Amino acid sequence: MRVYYGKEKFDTGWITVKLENPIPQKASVISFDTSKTNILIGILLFSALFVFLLYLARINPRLYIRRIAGLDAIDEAVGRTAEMGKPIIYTTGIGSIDNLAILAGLTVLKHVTKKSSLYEVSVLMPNNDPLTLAAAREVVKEAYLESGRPDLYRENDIFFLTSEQFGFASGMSGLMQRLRPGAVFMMGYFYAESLILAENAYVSGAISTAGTTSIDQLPFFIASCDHTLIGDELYAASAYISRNPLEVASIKTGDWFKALSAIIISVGSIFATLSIFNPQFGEVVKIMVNVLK
Amino acid sequence: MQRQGPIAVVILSALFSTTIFFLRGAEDIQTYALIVAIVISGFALLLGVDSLILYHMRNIQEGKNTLFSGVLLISFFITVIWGFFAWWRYGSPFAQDSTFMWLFLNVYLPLDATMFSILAFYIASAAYRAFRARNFNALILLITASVIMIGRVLYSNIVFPIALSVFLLLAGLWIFTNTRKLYGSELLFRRFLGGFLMGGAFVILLPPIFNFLGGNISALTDWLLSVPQNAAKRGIYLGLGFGQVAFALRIMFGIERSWIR
Repeated sequence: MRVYYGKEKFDTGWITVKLENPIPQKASVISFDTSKTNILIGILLFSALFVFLLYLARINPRLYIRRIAGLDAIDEAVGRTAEMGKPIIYTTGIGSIDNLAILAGLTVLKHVTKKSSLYEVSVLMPNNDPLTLAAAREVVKEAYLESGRPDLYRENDIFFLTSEQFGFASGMSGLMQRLRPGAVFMMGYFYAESLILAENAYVSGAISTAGTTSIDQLPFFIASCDHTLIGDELYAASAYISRNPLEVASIKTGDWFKALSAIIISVGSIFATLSIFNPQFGEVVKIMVNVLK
Repeated sequence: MQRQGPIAVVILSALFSTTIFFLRGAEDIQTYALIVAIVISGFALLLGVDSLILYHMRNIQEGKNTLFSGVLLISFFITVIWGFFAWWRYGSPFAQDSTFMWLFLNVYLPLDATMFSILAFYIASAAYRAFRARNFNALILLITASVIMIGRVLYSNIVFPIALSVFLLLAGLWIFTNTRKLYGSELLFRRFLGGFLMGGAFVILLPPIFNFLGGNISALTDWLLSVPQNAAKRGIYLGLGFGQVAFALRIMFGIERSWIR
């Protein structure tokens, strides 16, 4: 039932109009939203641990992070492309630069471009968003500059295709079929077009490497691509590639929090199971839920 | 300064957005910031149009994919001119009686729907490759996917026991007949297993077992989706959440700079 305020009052059963006056006024005073205290505490804890691990990383730069097969395969894919004399096609998918997955995709783009500059392999990047296009051009230009080959940079290799989802999928498919690239990288955020891109990469005979944070599209990539970065592996990519201790420290912070979450979930599951035999354990679970909620 | 300037803007914007998120009564500021972002991306579209036209013009000049690039440029300019005409003539290109709507409904929408429909064939092709039982994990995937697919169709209570029976019959037949280079007890065991599976195929068709399997397929599908699948999904979500915070902090602290020149 909806409640409105007006000059006459009436009630139809599903719409109620009350007399105006008690219209709630907007609070004009800006104050701290207490319902978000738990989020603030979580972020502060995360930041504190991050700063601590940054400090540790400065002392001991050789922090361990596990192997990510998809990123190790980049060298192989670029090498194969060079042998074939074909270009590489790289896409960050659908979305603008405000999407973290696309930013993470751009960091991998830099690494791929640097590697490809060693063998003079061209990297083509069709874009779905003009802001991503501008950022991608900067990233590629910087990568060529850093590898000492600014002459390889061609602005036209990073181009705008369309902002329409299936128009983009269609354009990418056509490009793959015509050029038969040696490698296709799909690193960023994808929607329903993911499978169209991945299958076309397969049909074109390219080594396909995908990475996305879109959980609904991950199964499609896993089924169709040669290598897939699953979820947060995409965020870890730049740290994994650069091995910069400061970046690795941030990955470690995430891992510590994951371990902490696993402990809390395990304890909660054990108590929830025990509450079948003794209801007092259920109270402990309720307290845990209330604290975390 | 070329590098420090944008990084400072990013750090300040991030701090501003984070602070606003925790404040009550600051929703208007948040809405205003969003409007600014939308206006900026609107202008950025010009950059996209510029890139699109230049790319295809150059393709035509170089004689690469001249036909495709030509069709694209002609379609682009026709759409833009038609859109402006409809705007002038009907007040909006998307007005009910606008001729631009005809273009939208009869050209754009069918093309879009065609690309979306092609997905069905790609799913079949990807499923064929993914469901090949190359190893034990792939076998589990094959069985689970088959159960889910059958559990989601109409008359699954009848289809599931029949499909299971056919599967067991074929598996049993394959095991029973595929006995080359097998002798003695090995051959005997192979024959017994094949016969056992084939027998099981017929047992499933007995009314009480048939009804039990048919009646529980829906519950089994729901369990598979809500328990093992959800558990894996939540694990990935958890990792994603922490990964996002870590990545955002890297950008906020200026550690992650590969996105900028």
